[in-house]
Amino acid sequence: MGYKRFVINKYEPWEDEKRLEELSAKGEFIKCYAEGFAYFKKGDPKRMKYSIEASAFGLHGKKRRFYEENGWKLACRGSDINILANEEPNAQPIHTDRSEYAHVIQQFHRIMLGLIIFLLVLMLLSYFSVVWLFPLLTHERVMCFADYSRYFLPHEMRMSVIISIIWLVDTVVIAFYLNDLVSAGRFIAGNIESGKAAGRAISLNRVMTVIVAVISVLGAANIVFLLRLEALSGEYPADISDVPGEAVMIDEFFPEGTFYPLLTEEDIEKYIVPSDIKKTAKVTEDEATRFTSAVTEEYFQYGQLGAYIPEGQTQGGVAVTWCRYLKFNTEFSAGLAVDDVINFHKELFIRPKFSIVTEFDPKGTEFDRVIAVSSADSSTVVFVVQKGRTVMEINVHVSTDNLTAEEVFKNFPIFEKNS
Amino acid sequence: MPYSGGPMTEAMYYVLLALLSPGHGYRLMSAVSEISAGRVKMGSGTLYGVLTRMQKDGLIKAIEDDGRRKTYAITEEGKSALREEYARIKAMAADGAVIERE
Repeated sequence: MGYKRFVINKYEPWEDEKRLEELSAKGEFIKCYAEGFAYFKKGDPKRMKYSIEASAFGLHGKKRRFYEENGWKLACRGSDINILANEEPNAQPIHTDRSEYAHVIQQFHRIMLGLIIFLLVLMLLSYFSVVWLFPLLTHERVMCFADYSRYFLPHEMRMSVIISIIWLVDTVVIAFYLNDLVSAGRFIAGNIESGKAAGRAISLNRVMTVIVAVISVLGAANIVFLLRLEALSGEYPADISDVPGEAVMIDEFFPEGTFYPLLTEEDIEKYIVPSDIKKTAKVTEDEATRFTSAVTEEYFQYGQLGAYIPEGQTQGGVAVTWCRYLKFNTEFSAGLAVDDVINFHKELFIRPKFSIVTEFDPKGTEFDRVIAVSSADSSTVVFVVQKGRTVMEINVHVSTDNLTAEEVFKNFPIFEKNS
Repeated sequence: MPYSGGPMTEAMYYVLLALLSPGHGYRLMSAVSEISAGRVKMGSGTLYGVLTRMQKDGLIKAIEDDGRRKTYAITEEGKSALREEYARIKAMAADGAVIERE
């Protein structure tokens, strides 16, 4: 035979039962049912009695034995119904009292309610985790989020697309269950003998409809938020003129010595080897990049390669500086970013060397927080400074002169502006 | 929802009446039919649901269970609920007698 469209109304199954009886009289017996489609098997025509009942968990144990004792056998199990057949065509239907059947539907209603609440909780956890984490989103995390999908998806397939698809599927599934819940609630209200139970079923229907609607709308708003987050998180080249005035320029970094920035590859070839240094080279950035994100107003990073000549000497070595300037939307986010950067560098320095974190007393300087992270035997020092919503991360590396954080700090012009 | 007085379903009322003499599933279906002079025919699903619910509510109890079938009997609480329901239906019937005088 095969599959055919066969919609069963589990709340008012009486007509559907009659249709099944007519089909069995023609030799078509239902064997399988799922969401509006039934599979029928051909056999010898036989007059039979059919009964359908709503059930979330099938037919088991004592109830099954009770039914079997009375001639009812499970003909087919649907996703939320039991279809029972009795070889005695004049047998009493399984359910003969609508008020009592309302109690069966009441159990079903509770299960549907639990299922919807479970799905809504999952929906909230999966969709809004990013929104809930919003205060914790530092620039790095935003960038990481925006780039996350590119590791396993085609470029145009962003996280927001994936979450939109999940949202659409979840919303359809929840709407399907909600429709069932509302129908069950209506049946209970119209048939159960208890006025209180009827009132509760109707109130529950209304409350759940509002909750599902609100969460679905919030889900859609979350997708808009993700799209904005992705749109804002990008990288593009910046002109040196974009670098704000308060960002530290490279030539301010060098204590008790002189920094000679290098303009070209030829300069590097020429001056890296200890020799006389030409003092005419101009300060410039070999790389300046500007970023935007949902949590930063401004973000620049720029670095410079040059030669550093300690005071009183004629020969120096390679000096590499790297500065990142971030202005966050809130001071809170800026504080989190500082901790983030410090932890990152602590981890970076811990192997094969160990890291030293020095917190300087910012009193007398123009900064709220000044922290240096360095390794014991490296000439690299990372400074993280914060003033209000502004955070700067400054990496200094001088190949020929091992500077401790204190030495660099002591001589750092920017830390002494207000002292 | 546990039974807390108030109107009973027809199935509850007739099963409680039938259980004034202890009985098991199939016997109860016949008893209900006899008591109601064939007016009330009770299906297996309705009977199973009403027995399970009334046992949970303490209106009936299982007095014998041989693994295959359970024999139920009405409890004192069940009797009291049945009397209350009977009084309510009687009062309703008396009130409705006015229709015969029309």
